[in-house]
Amino acid sequence: MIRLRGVSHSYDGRRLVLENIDLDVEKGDIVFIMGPNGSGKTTILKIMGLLLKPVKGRILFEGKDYWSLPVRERLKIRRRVIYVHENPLFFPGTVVENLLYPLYIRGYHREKALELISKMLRENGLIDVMDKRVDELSSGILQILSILRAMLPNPDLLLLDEPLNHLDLKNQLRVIRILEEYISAGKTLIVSTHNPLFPRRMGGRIYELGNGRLREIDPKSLKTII
Amino acid sequence: MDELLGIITRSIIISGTATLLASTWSIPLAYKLSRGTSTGYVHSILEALVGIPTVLIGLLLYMILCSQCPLGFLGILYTPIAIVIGEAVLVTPLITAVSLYEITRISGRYGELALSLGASDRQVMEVVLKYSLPGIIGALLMGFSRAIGELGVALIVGGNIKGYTRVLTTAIALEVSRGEYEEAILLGLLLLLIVAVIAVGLRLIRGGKD
Repeated sequence: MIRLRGVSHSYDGRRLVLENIDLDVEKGDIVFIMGPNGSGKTTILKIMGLLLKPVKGRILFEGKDYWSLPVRERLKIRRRVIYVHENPLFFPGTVVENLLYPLYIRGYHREKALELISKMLRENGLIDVMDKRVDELSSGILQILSILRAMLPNPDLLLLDEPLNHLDLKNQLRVIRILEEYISAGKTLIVSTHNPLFPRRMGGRIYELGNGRLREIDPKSLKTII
Repeated sequence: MDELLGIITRSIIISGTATLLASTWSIPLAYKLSRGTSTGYVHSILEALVGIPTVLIGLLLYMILCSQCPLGFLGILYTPIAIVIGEAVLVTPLITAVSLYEITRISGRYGELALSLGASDRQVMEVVLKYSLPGIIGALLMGFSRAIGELGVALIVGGNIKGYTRVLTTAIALEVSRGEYEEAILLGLLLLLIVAVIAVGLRLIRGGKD
Protein backbone atom coordinates (compact mmCIF):
# COMPACT_ATOMS: atom_id res chain seq x y z
CA MET A 1 0.00 0.00 0.00
CA ILE A 2 2.69 2.46 1.01
CA ARG A 3 6.42 2.15 0.47
CA LEU A 4 9.31 4.31 1.59
CA ARG A 5 12.36 4.23 -0.65
CA GLY A 6 15.62 5.78 0.51
CA VAL A 7 13.81 8.28 2.72
CA SER A 8 15.95 10.75 4.66
CA HIS A 9 14.78 13.81 6.56
CA SER A 10 16.33 16.71 8.37
CA TYR A 11 14.68 19.77 9.92
CA ASP A 12 17.79 21.95 10.07
CA GLY A 13 19.69 20.76 6.99
CA ARG A 14 22.45 19.28 9.15
CA ARG A 15 21.31 16.51 11.49
CA LEU A 16 19.44 13.67 9.78
CA VAL A 17 16.41 12.57 11.81
CA LEU A 18 15.80 9.75 9.32
CA GLU A 19 18.50 8.26 7.15
CA ASN A 20 17.94 6.22 4.00
CA ILE A 21 14.87 4.36 5.21
CA ASP A 22 13.11 1.64 3.21
CA LEU A 23 9.81 0.27 4.44
CA ASP A 24 7.00 -1.70 2.80
CA VAL A 25 3.51 -1.65 4.30
CA GLU A 26 0.87 -3.76 2.56
CA LYS A 27 -2.91 -3.45 2.75
CA GLY A 28 -4.19 -4.96 6.01
CA ASP A 29 -0.80 -4.73 7.76
CA ILE A 30 -0.32 -3.63 11.34
CA VAL A 31 3.03 -1.93 11.84
CA PHE A 32 4.40 -0.68 15.14
CA ILE A 33 7.25 1.80 15.33
CA MET A 34 9.04 1.94 18.64
CA GLY A 35 12.05 3.84 19.86
CA PRO A 36 13.21 6.39 22.40
CA ASN A 37 11.91 9.97 22.56
CA GLY A 38 13.35 12.13 19.79
CA SER A 39 14.22 9.15 17.62
CA GLY A 40 12.04 10.38 14.74
CA LYS A 41 8.85 8.34 15.26
CA THR A 42 6.57 11.34 14.71
CA THR A 43 8.60 12.39 11.66
CA ILE A 44 8.32 9.00 9.96
CA LEU A 45 4.59 8.87 10.77
CA LYS A 46 4.03 12.35 9.30
CA ILE A 47 5.97 11.33 6.19
CA MET A 48 3.85 8.19 5.78
CA GLY A 49 0.77 10.26 6.65
CA LEU A 50 1.66 12.41 3.60
CA LEU A 51 1.87 15.56 5.73
CA LEU A 52 5.61 16.00 5.46
CA LYS A 53 7.75 15.79 2.34
CA PRO A 54 11.08 14.16 3.08
CA VAL A 55 14.22 15.98 1.96
CA LYS A 56 15.30 12.84 0.12
CA GLY A 57 13.67 9.64 -1.10
CA ARG A 58 10.31 8.60 -2.48
CA ILE A 59 6.93 7.70 -1.00
CA LEU A 60 5.12 5.19 -3.20
CA PHE A 61 1.39 4.94 -2.56
CA GLU A 62 -0.06 1.94 -4.41
CA GLY A 63 2.96 2.17 -6.69
CA LYS A 64 2.61 5.90 -7.47
CA ASP A 65 5.33 8.35 -6.45
CA TYR A 66 3.12 10.53 -4.21
CA TRP A 67 5.11 13.78 -4.25
CA SER A 68 5.45 13.66 -8.07
CA LEU A 69 1.68 13.51 -8.60
CA PRO A 70 -0.46 16.54 -9.54
CA VAL A 71 -2.15 18.30 -6.58
CA ARG A 72 -5.58 16.86 -7.39
CA GLU A 73 -4.25 13.29 -7.49
CA ARG A 74 -2.42 13.85 -4.23
CA LEU A 75 -5.61 15.09 -2.54
CA LYS A 76 -7.48 11.96 -3.64
CA ILE A 77 -4.82 9.81 -2.00
CA ARG A 78 -4.54 12.00 1.10
CA ARG A 79 -8.27 11.65 1.70
CA ARG A 80 -7.68 7.89 2.16
CA VAL A 81 -5.03 8.44 4.82
CA ILE A 82 -5.48 9.98 8.28
CA TYR A 83 -2.80 10.83 10.80
CA VAL A 84 -3.72 11.30 14.48
CA HIS A 85 -1.46 13.59 16.53
CA GLU A 86 0.17 12.46 19.75
CA ASN A 87 -1.51 15.23 21.75
CA PRO A 88 -5.11 15.24 20.57
CA LEU A 89 -5.85 18.38 18.57
CA PHE A 90 -9.32 19.86 18.21
CA PHE A 91 -10.78 23.01 16.76
CA PRO A 92 -12.37 25.30 19.35
CA GLY A 93 -16.03 24.30 19.64
CA THR A 94 -18.15 21.28 20.44
CA VAL A 95 -17.43 17.58 19.94
CA VAL A 96 -20.01 17.29 17.18
CA GLU A 97 -18.55 20.27 15.29
CA ASN A 98 -15.13 18.63 15.42
CA LEU A 99 -16.43 15.23 14.35
CA LEU A 100 -18.32 16.82 11.46
CA TYR A 101 -15.15 18.34 10.00
CA PRO A 102 -13.57 15.29 8.28
CA LEU A 103 -16.98 14.42 6.82
CA TYR A 104 -17.77 18.00 5.81
CA ILE A 105 -14.53 18.34 3.82
CA ARG A 106 -15.39 15.11 1.99
CA GLY A 107 -18.76 16.50 0.96
CA TYR A 108 -21.05 14.49 3.25
CA HIS A 109 -24.57 15.85 3.78
CA ARG A 110 -25.04 17.17 7.30
CA GLU A 111 -27.88 14.75 8.15
CA LYS A 112 -25.92 11.74 6.96
CA ALA A 113 -22.81 12.94 8.81
CA LEU A 114 -24.75 13.51 12.05
CA GLU A 115 -26.25 10.05 11.73
CA LEU A 116 -22.77 8.48 11.40
CA ILE A 117 -21.44 10.51 14.33
CA SER A 118 -24.37 9.60 16.62
CA LYS A 119 -24.01 5.93 15.73
CA MET A 120 -20.28 5.91 16.41
CA LEU A 121 -20.58 7.81 19.71
CA ARG A 122 -23.45 5.59 20.87
CA GLU A 123 -21.51 2.41 20.04
CA ASN A 124 -18.58 3.70 22.07
CA GLY A 125 -20.59 4.94 25.04
CA LEU A 126 -19.80 8.60 24.34
CA ILE A 127 -23.15 9.92 23.11
CA ASP A 128 -23.39 12.15 26.24
CA VAL A 129 -20.39 14.24 25.18
CA MET A 130 -21.70 14.96 21.67
CA ASP A 131 -22.76 18.54 22.38
CA LYS A 132 -20.09 19.35 24.97
CA ARG A 133 -17.30 21.79 24.27
CA VAL A 134 -13.97 20.04 23.75
CA ASP A 135 -12.27 22.22 26.39
CA GLU A 136 -14.60 20.72 29.02
CA LEU A 137 -13.40 17.15 28.41
CA SER A 138 -10.56 15.13 29.93
CA SER A 139 -7.44 14.36 27.90
CA GLY A 140 -8.36 10.65 27.93
CA ILE A 141 -11.78 11.25 26.37
CA LEU A 142 -10.20 13.64 23.84
CA GLN A 143 -7.66 10.97 22.89
CA ILE A 144 -10.45 8.46 22.19
CA LEU A 145 -12.49 11.09 20.33
CA SER A 146 -9.51 12.01 18.14
CA ILE A 147 -9.19 8.34 17.10
CA LEU A 148 -12.93 8.02 16.48
CA ARG A 149 -12.88 11.24 14.44
CA ALA A 150 -10.09 9.81 12.29
CA MET A 151 -12.08 6.62 11.70
CA LEU A 152 -15.35 8.36 10.78
CA PRO A 153 -14.51 8.84 7.06
CA ASN A 154 -13.33 5.20 6.99
CA PRO A 155 -9.72 5.80 5.81
CA ASP A 156 -7.74 2.97 4.21
CA LEU A 157 -4.61 3.87 6.17
CA LEU A 158 -4.64 5.13 9.75
CA LEU A 159 -1.50 6.42 11.44
CA LEU A 160 -1.57 6.89 15.18
CA ASP A 161 1.14 8.71 17.10
CA GLU A 162 1.37 7.34 20.66
CA PRO A 163 -2.40 6.70 20.83
CA LEU A 164 -2.38 5.19 24.32
CA ASN A 165 -0.92 8.30 25.95
CA HIS A 166 -3.28 10.01 28.42
CA LEU A 167 -5.25 6.77 28.83
CA ASP A 168 -5.78 4.53 31.86
CA LEU A 169 -5.68 0.77 31.35
CA LYS A 170 -9.46 0.51 30.83
CA ASN A 171 -9.40 3.11 28.10
CA GLN A 172 -6.24 1.62 26.57
CA LEU A 173 -8.13 -1.64 26.10
CA ARG A 174 -11.09 0.33 24.75
CA VAL A 175 -8.87 1.92 22.06
CA ILE A 176 -7.33 -1.45 21.21
CA ARG A 177 -10.83 -2.91 20.71
CA ILE A 178 -11.77 0.02 18.44
CA LEU A 179 -8.62 -0.56 16.38
CA GLU A 180 -9.14 -4.33 16.22
CA GLU A 181 -12.52 -3.66 14.67
CA TYR A 182 -10.92 -1.25 12.18
CA ILE A 183 -8.26 -3.81 11.22
CA SER A 184 -10.85 -6.59 10.86
CA ALA A 185 -12.29 -4.61 7.91
CA GLY A 186 -9.00 -5.11 6.02
CA LYS A 187 -7.64 -1.66 6.78
CA THR A 188 -4.00 -0.73 7.39
CA LEU A 189 -2.66 0.57 10.67
CA ILE A 190 0.69 2.17 11.53
CA VAL A 191 1.30 3.07 15.15
CA SER A 192 4.14 4.64 17.10
CA THR A 193 4.14 3.57 20.72
CA HIS A 194 6.15 2.96 23.85
CA ASN A 195 3.48 0.63 25.18
CA PRO A 196 4.24 -3.11 24.86
CA LEU A 197 0.58 -3.89 25.48
CA PHE A 198 -0.22 -2.73 22.00
CA PRO A 199 1.90 -5.06 19.83
CA ARG A 200 1.45 -7.94 22.26
CA ARG A 201 -2.31 -7.68 22.02
CA MET A 202 -2.64 -6.81 18.33
CA GLY A 203 0.27 -8.62 16.69
CA GLY A 204 1.79 -7.15 13.55
CA ARG A 205 5.33 -6.19 12.63
CA ILE A 206 7.51 -4.20 15.01
CA TYR A 207 10.26 -1.80 14.00
CA GLU A 208 12.72 0.04 16.17
CA LEU A 209 13.85 3.52 15.17
CA GLY A 210 17.22 4.72 16.45
CA ASN A 211 19.99 6.95 15.10
CA GLY A 212 17.83 7.66 12.07
CA ARG A 213 17.71 3.98 11.09
CA LEU A 214 14.78 1.59 11.08
CA ARG A 215 15.21 -2.09 11.86
CA GLU A 216 12.64 -4.83 12.24
CA ILE A 217 12.75 -6.55 15.59
CA ASP A 218 11.53 -9.84 16.93
CA PRO A 219 8.42 -9.34 19.10
CA LYS A 220 10.07 -11.60 21.69
CA SER A 221 12.82 -9.01 22.19
CA LEU A 222 10.31 -6.28 23.04
CA LYS A 223 11.26 -6.10 26.70
CA THR A 224 14.83 -5.13 25.88
CA ILE A 225 13.91 -1.94 24.06
CA ILE A 226 11.12 -0.66 26.31
CA MET B 1 -13.94 73.79 14.80
CA ASP B 2 -14.96 72.74 11.27
CA GLU B 3 -11.32 72.72 10.26
CA LEU B 4 -10.42 70.57 13.27
CA LEU B 5 -13.18 68.08 12.46
CA GLY B 6 -12.01 68.06 8.85
CA ILE B 7 -8.44 67.29 9.90
CA ILE B 8 -9.55 64.44 12.19
CA THR B 9 -11.89 62.93 9.57
CA ARG B 10 -9.26 63.26 6.83
CA SER B 11 -6.61 61.65 9.02
CA ILE B 12 -8.86 58.68 9.80
CA ILE B 13 -9.98 58.23 6.18
CA ILE B 14 -6.46 58.51 4.72
CA SER B 15 -4.86 56.19 7.29
CA GLY B 16 -7.81 53.78 7.18
CA THR B 17 -7.66 53.61 3.37
CA ALA B 18 -3.88 53.11 3.49
CA THR B 19 -4.28 50.28 6.01
CA LEU B 20 -6.97 48.56 3.94
CA LEU B 21 -4.89 49.01 0.77
CA ALA B 22 -1.83 47.51 2.48
CA SER B 23 -3.94 44.60 3.77
CA THR B 24 -4.83 43.59 0.20
CA TRP B 25 -1.24 42.50 -0.39
CA SER B 26 0.14 42.10 3.15
CA ILE B 27 -2.27 39.35 4.29
CA PRO B 28 -1.93 37.19 1.12
CA LEU B 29 1.84 37.76 1.33
CA ALA B 30 1.89 36.68 4.99
CA TYR B 31 -0.10 33.54 4.12
CA LYS B 32 2.21 32.74 1.20
CA LEU B 33 5.30 33.28 3.35
CA SER B 34 3.86 31.07 6.10
CA ARG B 35 3.80 28.13 3.65
CA GLY B 36 7.56 28.46 3.10
CA THR B 37 10.25 26.85 5.19
CA SER B 38 12.37 29.88 6.09
CA THR B 39 9.89 32.02 8.04
CA GLY B 40 12.57 32.78 10.66
CA TYR B 41 14.66 34.77 8.16
CA VAL B 42 11.57 36.42 6.71
CA HIS B 43 10.46 37.51 10.20
CA SER B 44 13.86 39.11 10.79
CA ILE B 45 13.79 41.01 7.49
CA LEU B 46 10.22 42.21 8.05
CA GLU B 47 10.99 43.30 11.62
CA ALA B 48 13.95 45.31 10.30
CA LEU B 49 11.69 46.98 7.70
CA VAL B 50 9.08 47.87 10.34
CA GLY B 51 11.44 50.51 11.69
CA ILE B 52 12.17 52.14 8.32
CA PRO B 53 12.11 55.97 8.74
CA THR B 54 8.93 57.55 7.39
CA VAL B 55 10.87 60.46 5.90
CA LEU B 56 12.85 57.99 3.81
CA ILE B 57 9.66 56.51 2.36
CA GLY B 58 8.34 60.04 1.82
CA LEU B 59 11.53 61.04 0.01
CA LEU B 60 11.60 57.94 -2.19
CA LEU B 61 7.95 58.40 -3.09
CA TYR B 62 8.58 62.08 -3.86
CA MET B 63 11.40 61.05 -6.24
CA ILE B 64 8.91 58.85 -8.09
CA LEU B 65 5.90 61.20 -8.10
CA CYS B 66 7.36 64.70 -8.68
CA SER B 67 6.54 66.37 -12.01
CA GLN B 68 9.88 65.45 -13.66
CA CYS B 69 9.87 61.96 -12.12
CA PRO B 70 8.91 58.57 -13.65
CA LEU B 71 5.30 58.66 -12.38
CA GLY B 72 4.97 62.46 -12.43
CA PHE B 73 2.41 62.21 -15.26
CA LEU B 74 -0.10 60.78 -12.76
CA GLY B 75 -0.29 64.18 -11.07
CA ILE B 76 -0.94 62.75 -7.62
CA LEU B 77 1.86 64.49 -5.69
CA TYR B 78 0.42 66.69 -2.93
CA THR B 79 -2.88 64.83 -2.96
CA PRO B 80 -4.43 62.50 -0.35
CA ILE B 81 -3.77 59.62 -2.81
CA ALA B 82 -0.01 60.15 -2.48
CA ILE B 83 -0.28 59.99 1.33
CA VAL B 84 -2.42 56.83 1.11
CA ILE B 85 0.18 55.15 -1.12
CA GLY B 86 3.07 56.23 1.09
CA GLU B 87 1.39 55.11 4.30
CA ALA B 88 0.35 51.81 2.69
CA VAL B 89 4.01 51.17 1.84
CA LEU B 90 5.00 52.22 5.36
CA VAL B 91 2.64 49.82 7.17
CA THR B 92 3.17 46.85 4.84
CA PRO B 93 6.10 45.32 6.81
CA LEU B 94 4.24 45.75 10.12
CA ILE B 95 0.95 44.20 8.93
CA THR B 96 2.81 41.41 7.12
CA ALA B 97 5.08 40.61 10.10
CA VAL B 98 2.27 40.49 12.68
CA SER B 99 -0.05 38.54 10.33
CA LEU B 100 2.76 36.14 9.45
CA TYR B 101 3.44 35.46 13.13
CA GLU B 102 -0.25 34.79 13.78
CA ILE B 103 -0.84 32.70 10.64
CA THR B 104 2.29 30.62 11.30
CA ARG B 105 1.12 29.95 14.86
CA ILE B 106 -2.37 28.93 13.73
CA SER B 107 -1.05 26.90 10.75
CA GLY B 108 1.11 24.78 13.03
CA ARG B 109 -1.93 23.83 15.05
CA TYR B 110 -5.23 24.04 13.18
CA GLY B 111 -3.79 24.05 9.65
CA GLU B 112 -1.94 20.81 10.24
CA LEU B 113 -5.01 19.33 11.96
CA ALA B 114 -7.16 20.13 8.92
CA LEU B 115 -4.48 18.70 6.62
CA SER B 116 -4.17 15.51 8.67
CA LEU B 117 -7.94 15.01 8.38
CA GLY B 118 -7.81 15.27 4.57
CA ALA B 119 -8.51 18.95 3.87
CA SER B 120 -7.56 20.40 0.49
CA ASP B 121 -5.17 23.37 0.29
CA ARG B 122 -8.16 25.72 -0.01
CA GLN B 123 -9.90 24.14 2.99
CA VAL B 124 -6.68 24.43 5.02
CA MET B 125 -6.47 28.12 4.06
CA GLU B 126 -10.08 28.66 5.18
CA VAL B 127 -9.32 27.11 8.57
CA VAL B 128 -6.09 29.06 9.04
CA LEU B 129 -7.64 32.40 8.10
CA LYS B 130 -10.72 31.75 10.24
CA TYR B 131 -8.68 31.14 13.39
CA SER B 132 -6.07 33.81 12.54
CA LEU B 133 -8.73 36.50 12.06
CA PRO B 134 -8.48 38.10 15.54
CA GLY B 135 -4.69 38.32 15.10
CA ILE B 136 -5.03 39.73 11.58
CA ILE B 137 -7.50 42.38 12.80
CA GLY B 138 -4.96 43.20 15.51
CA ALA B 139 -2.29 43.58 12.82
CA LEU B 140 -4.56 45.97 10.87
CA LEU B 141 -5.21 48.07 13.98
CA MET B 142 -1.47 48.27 14.64
CA GLY B 143 -0.95 49.30 11.00
CA PHE B 144 -3.61 51.99 11.28
CA SER B 145 -2.05 53.25 14.50
CA ARG B 146 1.36 53.50 12.81
CA ALA B 147 -0.13 55.22 9.74
CA ILE B 148 -2.11 57.87 11.60
CA GLY B 149 0.87 58.74 13.79
CA GLU B 150 3.44 59.16 11.01
CA LEU B 151 4.63 62.56 9.80
CA GLY B 152 7.34 62.10 7.14
CA VAL B 153 5.18 60.73 4.32
CA ALA B 154 2.23 63.07 4.96
CA LEU B 155 4.51 66.12 5.00
CA ILE B 156 6.72 65.29 2.00
CA VAL B 157 4.17 63.88 -0.47
CA GLY B 158 1.03 65.46 1.03
CA GLY B 159 2.37 68.99 1.35
CA ASN B 160 0.15 69.89 4.35
CA ILE B 161 -2.36 71.79 2.16
CA LYS B 162 -5.13 73.31 4.28
CA GLY B 163 -8.47 71.58 3.82
CA TYR B 164 -6.98 69.04 1.41
CA THR B 165 -3.93 67.11 2.66
CA ARG B 166 -3.57 68.49 6.17
CA VAL B 167 -3.74 65.66 8.70
CA LEU B 168 -3.24 65.56 12.48
CA THR B 169 0.54 65.08 12.45
CA THR B 170 1.25 67.73 9.80
CA ALA B 171 -1.12 70.15 11.58
CA ILE B 172 0.82 69.59 14.84
CA ALA B 173 4.12 70.26 13.03
CA LEU B 174 2.67 73.44 11.54
CA GLU B 175 1.34 74.76 14.88
CA VAL B 176 4.71 74.10 16.54
CA SER B 177 6.52 75.97 13.76
CA ARG B 178 4.13 78.88 14.29
CA GLY B 179 4.72 78.85 18.04
CA GLU B 180 1.06 77.91 18.68
CA TYR B 181 1.84 75.33 21.31
CA GLU B 182 -1.67 75.16 22.82
CA GLU B 183 -3.15 74.22 19.45
CA ALA B 184 -0.36 71.72 18.90
CA ILE B 185 -0.96 70.10 22.29
CA LEU B 186 -4.71 69.88 21.65
CA LEU B 187 -4.10 68.15 18.31
CA GLY B 188 -1.52 65.91 19.97
CA LEU B 189 -4.04 64.87 22.62
CA LEU B 190 -6.60 64.05 19.93
CA LEU B 191 -4.04 61.90 18.15
CA LEU B 192 -3.21 60.22 21.44
CA LEU B 193 -6.91 59.54 22.05
CA ILE B 194 -7.29 57.85 18.65
CA VAL B 195 -4.19 55.69 19.26
CA ALA B 196 -5.41 54.86 22.81
CA VAL B 197 -8.81 53.73 21.47
CA ILE B 198 -6.96 51.45 19.04
CA ALA B 199 -4.80 50.08 21.85
CA VAL B 200 -7.91 49.26 23.88
CA GLY B 201 -9.42 47.58 20.81
CA LEU B 202 -6.26 45.51 20.41
CA ARG B 203 -6.36 44.49 24.04
CA LEU B 204 -10.00 43.43 23.73
CA ILE B 205 -9.18 41.33 20.65
CA ARG B 206 -6.20 39.75 22.42
CA GLY B 207 -8.33 39.09 25.51
CA GLY B 208 -11.02 37.46 23.40
CA LYS B 209 -8.41 35.27 21.72
CA ASP B 210 -6.89 34.07 25.01
